[in-house]
Amino acid sequence: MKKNGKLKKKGVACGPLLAGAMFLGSSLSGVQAEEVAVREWTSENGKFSVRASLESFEVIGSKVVLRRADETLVRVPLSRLSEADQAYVRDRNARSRAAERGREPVRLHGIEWQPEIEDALELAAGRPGPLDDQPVMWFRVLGQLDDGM
Amino acid sequence: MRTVSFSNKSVRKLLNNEFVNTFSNTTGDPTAGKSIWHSPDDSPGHCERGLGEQNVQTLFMTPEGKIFHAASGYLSPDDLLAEIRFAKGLFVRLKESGFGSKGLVREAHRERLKDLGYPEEEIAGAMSNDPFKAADLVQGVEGGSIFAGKTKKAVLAGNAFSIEHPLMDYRTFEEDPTVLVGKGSSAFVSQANGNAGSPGRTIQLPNLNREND
Repeated sequence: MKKNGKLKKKGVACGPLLAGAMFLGSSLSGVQAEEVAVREWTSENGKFSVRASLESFEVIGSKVVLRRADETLVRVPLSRLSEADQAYVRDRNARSRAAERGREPVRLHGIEWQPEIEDALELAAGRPGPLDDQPVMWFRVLGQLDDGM
Repeated sequence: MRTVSFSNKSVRKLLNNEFVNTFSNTTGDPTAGKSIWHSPDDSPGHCERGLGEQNVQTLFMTPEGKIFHAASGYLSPDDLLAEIRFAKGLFVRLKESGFGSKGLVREAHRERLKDLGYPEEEIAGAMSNDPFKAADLVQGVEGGSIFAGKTKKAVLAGNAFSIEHPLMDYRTFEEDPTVLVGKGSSAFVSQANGNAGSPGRTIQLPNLNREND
């Protein structure tokens, strides 16, 4: 399926999905990925895969830029990726945007909290997992979460 | 409530792995209750479920910000775990239905109340704006305990909210939380530090010497 980071289709070199995407428009309002973990990416029909890291996500146009093992960049429409990969991108994007806004999650009472509801909803819409979407638990309390009251 | 309710390992595991969690400080909200200030490490006193419904609310939402389950007031770790599990199960059913089924939310909560032993007239009374139809749940509670009655009423109110306002947008709720917490006032005091107070927030509640939120 994959070999040296190149896209393969069950023994036949085939990359229309990713190669075609490379020629799409330049980055617009790109959001840099906050980590460079190399992982396996799969096309939405499950026929193609590639090992690459998430370079950036272009919000306008909804394109994902991947860096393959040979350092070449490929730009892929988000909709052409598997559901799990789409969820991964949304999750990374939501976290990256929250970090840019200076709203890092906090850990209190053994639980990870998003400081803003909007961040939680955005994250819940794309968190990778068996269900993709996640429910949001919203705790309204008189006083600060880590303070006396 | 923070320290006690989140002390359960299963609660923390479920919330971290299967939910996205967020919080709001309701200080200044006209519907928020009052609390005599006390330190987080004050020893907790005895507290019944549902007390302080205006001090703390636990709500569950879809990623679109639609509230599909709510519980007001203090929740013990076991109570919170039960609410989380119910919310998780309902969320799965909602997802399968495309998140748009208000009927599913209504029915799930109605079934839950019936399973908890609430008769139809109490459910109808909780959803009625007519104060004379609202059941006085102090009666019928073992020993006639006012706190047991309040617990029963809080559980009823939380579930009735989702029957009457299924999938309410969280922004709508923020504008008027009284649809869940009512228009009364609630307060907590600490068992260990009940006589301490921050400026402007000290109140006298000699009969409510109970655990913080």
